[in-house]
Amino acid sequence: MLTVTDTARVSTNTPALPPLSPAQAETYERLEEAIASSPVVVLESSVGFGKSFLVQRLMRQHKAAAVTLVDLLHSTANTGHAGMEAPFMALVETAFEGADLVILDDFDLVGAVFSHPFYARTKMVEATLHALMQRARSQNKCLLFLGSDFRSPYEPEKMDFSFFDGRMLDLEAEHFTEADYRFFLGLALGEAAGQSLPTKRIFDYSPGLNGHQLRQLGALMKEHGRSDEAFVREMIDTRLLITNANVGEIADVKFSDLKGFEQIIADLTTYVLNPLKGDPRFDDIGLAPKRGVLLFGPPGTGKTSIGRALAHQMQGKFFMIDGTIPTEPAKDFYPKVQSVFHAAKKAAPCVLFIDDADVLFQSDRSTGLSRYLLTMLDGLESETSGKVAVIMTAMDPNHMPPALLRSGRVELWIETKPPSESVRNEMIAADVARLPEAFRSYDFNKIANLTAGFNAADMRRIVSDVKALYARDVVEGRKIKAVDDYFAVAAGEVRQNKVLLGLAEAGALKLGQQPEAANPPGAGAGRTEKQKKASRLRDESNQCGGE
Amino acid sequence: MSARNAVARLPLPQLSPVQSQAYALLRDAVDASTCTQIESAPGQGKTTLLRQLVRELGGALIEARQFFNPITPGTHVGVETTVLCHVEKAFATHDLVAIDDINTIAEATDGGSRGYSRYGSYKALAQMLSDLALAQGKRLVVAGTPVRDDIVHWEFDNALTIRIGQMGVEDYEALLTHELGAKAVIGIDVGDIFEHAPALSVYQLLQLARLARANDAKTSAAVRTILDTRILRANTRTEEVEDLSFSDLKGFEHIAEALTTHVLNPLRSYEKLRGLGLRPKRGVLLFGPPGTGKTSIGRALARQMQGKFFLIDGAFSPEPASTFYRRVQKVINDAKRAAPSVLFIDDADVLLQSGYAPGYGRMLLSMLDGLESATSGKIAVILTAMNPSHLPPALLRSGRVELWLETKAPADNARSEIVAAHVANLPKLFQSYDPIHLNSLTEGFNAADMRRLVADVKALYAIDAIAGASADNADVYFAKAAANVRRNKELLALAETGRFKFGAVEAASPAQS
Repeated sequence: MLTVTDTARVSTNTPALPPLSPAQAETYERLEEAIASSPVVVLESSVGFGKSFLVQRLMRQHKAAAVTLVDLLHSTANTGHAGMEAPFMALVETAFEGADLVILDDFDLVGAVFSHPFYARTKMVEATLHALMQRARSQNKCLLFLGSDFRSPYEPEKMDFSFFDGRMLDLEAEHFTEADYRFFLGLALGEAAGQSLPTKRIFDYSPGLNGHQLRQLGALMKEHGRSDEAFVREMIDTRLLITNANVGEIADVKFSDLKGFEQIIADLTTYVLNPLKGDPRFDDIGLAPKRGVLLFGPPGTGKTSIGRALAHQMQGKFFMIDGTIPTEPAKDFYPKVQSVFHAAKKAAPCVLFIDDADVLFQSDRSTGLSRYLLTMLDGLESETSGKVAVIMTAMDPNHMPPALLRSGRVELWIETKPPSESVRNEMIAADVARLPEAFRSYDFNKIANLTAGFNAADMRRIVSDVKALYARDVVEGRKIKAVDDYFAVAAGEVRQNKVLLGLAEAGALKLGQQPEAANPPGAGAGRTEKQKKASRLRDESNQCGGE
Repeated sequence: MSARNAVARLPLPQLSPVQSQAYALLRDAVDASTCTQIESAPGQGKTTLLRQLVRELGGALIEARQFFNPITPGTHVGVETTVLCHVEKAFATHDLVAIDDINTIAEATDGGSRGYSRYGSYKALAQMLSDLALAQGKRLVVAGTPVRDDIVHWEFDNALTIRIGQMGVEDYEALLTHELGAKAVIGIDVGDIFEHAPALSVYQLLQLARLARANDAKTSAAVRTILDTRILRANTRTEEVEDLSFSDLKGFEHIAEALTTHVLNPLRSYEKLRGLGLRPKRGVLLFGPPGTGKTSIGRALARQMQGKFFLIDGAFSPEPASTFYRRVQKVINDAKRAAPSVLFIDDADVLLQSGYAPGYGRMLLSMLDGLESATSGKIAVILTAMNPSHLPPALLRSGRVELWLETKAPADNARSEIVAAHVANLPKLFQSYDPIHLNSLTEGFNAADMRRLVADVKALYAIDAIAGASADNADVYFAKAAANVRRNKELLALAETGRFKFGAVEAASPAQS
C-alpha cells in the first residue's frame, strides 16, 4: 500500500493546488484507488484534459517521483550507448529509491521510439518494463504511465501499453460534461459569472472542447466583456475549432449568392443545418441532423458551390475530404481520412464534406473506405459521429459503393440540376459586370443556339474567353472586333470543347478527325472532370463558382 | 548485489493450488533434466515459481533487469552476450541458474526488426547455455510467456516443459483469501466470480481484491461490478453506444429470446445451472436486409454486457495491414481474457468479402473452432451480414455458425409500435397522427426507415416552428417524411444496381413532396 501524506501536514507555505474540474476530480479519485491496487496503472486521456494537474496533485499527496521526457533525454545523452533502455531503467530505479509511486508522463511518446521498427532493439523495452513492474509489485509500489490518445486508431505509431495487458489497471479519463465547462469558464470569469453563463448551450453546441480551448474561450469572453451565446459560437467557430479546410482559401460563396438553389438550401437547412444548431426550443424532441447526405447531379450543376457556401457558413465546423488527399500509399491515406473524422468528431456537431465521393470510391482502395464510412455513418458506437453530418457529392450515384447505398445510411438524396436559362444568366451577372463597357449589355439570346444545355460554368467560360480574346487584340494592337464576334467565337470554342470532352469520355475520340475548330487556342481543351477534381473547393482563383 | 541476496530479501507469496501443482512438476523436472522451461501466460505466477525454486535449491535467479547490466560497467555489448556472461558467472558459484522472461531476449534479438545488428543470435545463445549447463553438470531453468506475434521462438529444443495451468476456482479462492482475509471472502461467492471471469491473471485477482476492499464491496454482485467496470475493459466505449435495451426493440422478440437462451444465459453464471456444462453458441449470424435492426441489437447487447462486449467493425482501418491485424488480434485476446464474452463483428460480409483482409477470415475460423483453447469456447462470436452469401464459404461450410437469426422488416402492427415508441416521450403534437394511415404510408419500410421517418418529422416540425407556423397535428409531417424516405429508398435501389439515370425518378425535392 502506498503511504499517503496527510494533507494537513503539508507545510503552509506550499502553494495551494489548483482546483480540479468535476471530470478531473472524478478521474483523480479513480486514479488514487488504482495506484493503491495495482503495481502498474495506465491512464489514457485526450489532449487538453489536464493530466499534468493530476500529476501535480499526486506528487503532493504521495511519496512520488516523476520521470519526465527531459530526464530521459538527459540520461541518454552521456551514456555513449546506442540503447536507451539501460539509462531509462537506471533512471526509474533511482526514482524508486525514495518513492512509492513513480510517474512516467507522456510515456506513449517515449514508447513510440522504443517500439518503432527502426529502433535497433524494438522489443527490448518490454524487458525493461517487465523488470520495473516486478520491482513495483514485490515492493508494493506503483508505476503510473500517462499518455494522450495512445489507443486512438489515428495514432498507430504510439505505444499502446498492450504489453501490460492482464496485469495493469487501465483507466480512461472521464469526459468533460457541462459541469466541466462551467468550471473552466468560471475559472476565467469568476465563479459567480460562471453560474450565469449559458453553459448548457455552449456544451451542446460543441461538446468536444478540451481544457485548453475552454480556458481560451474564457479568456476571450473576459477580454471582450461578452458572454452571450452568439459571441461564444463565433469564437468557437472562428478561433477555437481547427478544421482541415482553410476557409480563407475557399471562394467566398454565400447561400444567397446561389441562384436557383432555393429548394436545395431549404432541404439542407431543414435536415442538416437547423438540427446542427442546437436550438433550445427543440431540446425536448431530440432533433438530430441527417448523418449521410448525397448531393448528386451532372458536372457544373453547383455541388461544389454548395460546399463552398457551407464552409463559409459553418466555419470551424466544416471539414472536408477531397482530391487533395491522395489515395496512395494506402498506409498514409487511411490515417489522413481518419484524422479528419477524428477532428470532426471533436468539433461535432458539424459537417464533413466529401467532394467527388463517387470518384474517390472508384479508386482501388475504396473497399476499406466505404466500410469505414459505413461504420462512421451509423456504426454501433456512433453517438458522437452521429452528430457529424457527412455530405457527399457525386456526379454519378451509380458509382457509389453498393454496400454503402444498400445499407440505407445515405439518408438524404438531393439532386442538383442544370439551371434554367434565366437562372443561368443571373448566375453569371457578376462576371458579365466586369466585362468592358461595350460588352456588358450583350444579349445572350443571340448565341442561344450555341449555348443550349450549357450550365453556369460553361457560361462563365464563355465570358472569360471573351475577355481573353479581347485582351489579346488590345495587347497586340489588333483591330477590335464587333462585340457579337467575340461572343460567337467564344461560345463556339466552349461548345467544341464540350463535344470533344463528350467524345473522349465515351472513348470515341479519334485523332485528326475532328474539324479544324476542334483545336482552339484556349487552354481548357480536354480538361476532364477527373483532372479538375483535386481541390476545386479550395480553388480561390477558379472563378467557376457554378462548378 | 548478488542474485542470491536479491532473492533472499523478497517475501514469498503463497502458492495457489494450480501453482503448487506446477511447482511439483517443476521440482521433478529439475531433478530429471539439465534444462527445464516454464511457459505461461503473463501474470500466472512463473516468476513466483522461479523464486521459490532458487530459494529452496539455492540457485541464482537472473531477472530482466540484469539483461541491461553488463558485467563490466560502461561496456557496450549485445544483450545476448550480457546474459551469457551473467550465466557463466552464476554457474561458478551455483548449481542451478534460472532465467526469467527469456522470451524478451529472443524478441529483442530475433523479433521486432531485423535492425538488430546481431539478428538471429538467440538460437546460438540458447545452444551455448544448454551446452554450458550440460558440460558443467549444472541445472538451467528458463521461463517465458508465449510470444505474441508468433514469429519468434524462445523455447529450448532439449528442455522439459512445464506449463502453469489456467487458474481454477480454488486458485481464485486462495488468492482472494490471501489478500482479503478469510472473513471478508465469506460474503462473496467465489464460484460466481470465477464463472463470470475465469481467465483472470494473478495480477487482476489482486487488483480485484484491493479494489473490493477500497470500495467496501462485500457481495458477489458488488465484486462483479468492479470486475466489469474496472478490470475487464471492453474495446467499446459505452458512452458512444446509444442506450438501448431489448425491450426498446419492437418486433425483435424472437431474436431477443434466441439470444437470451443460446448466448446470454449460458454466458452468465447461475448457481442453479452450475455443473450443467452450459455453453453459449459460438457462432451466431444475424442476417437480414439493411435497416432491419442488426446493429441496434448489437447496441442493446453492448449496453447489457458492458466490459464483456468486444467489437470489430469498419472503424478498424485496413491499412497498414500490420496494424490492422495487430488490432484485430488484440481485440480477440482481450475478449479471451474477459471470457465468457461476446465478440461482435458488425457488417461481417462487407469486412470479409473476398480479396480483402484474407487472413482475417482464417483467424475467425480458428477462433470459432475453439480447438486452440478452452477460453475461446466461451466467446460467442456474433456476426452481422446484409447478405450471408458474401460470407466466406469456408466459414459457412465449417458449420461453425451455429445459430442463424434473420432480422426482417417489421410487420404492420410493429411499424406503428415502432413509431409509438419513438414518439412516446415527445410533445403531444407528435402523437397526433392517424396510425392506420401511417401504416399504409410506410408499407415496406424497415426499422431504420421508421427511425428516419420520425427524425424527418422532427426536422420538418422544427423548421415550421421556427417560422411560427407549425401544423396542429402531425399527419402532414408524417406524410411528407414518408414520401421523402420512400423517394430515398427508390433512388438508392436504382443507384445500387447501377441503373440510376438522371431524370428517371421524379426528383421532387424531399421537402416539397
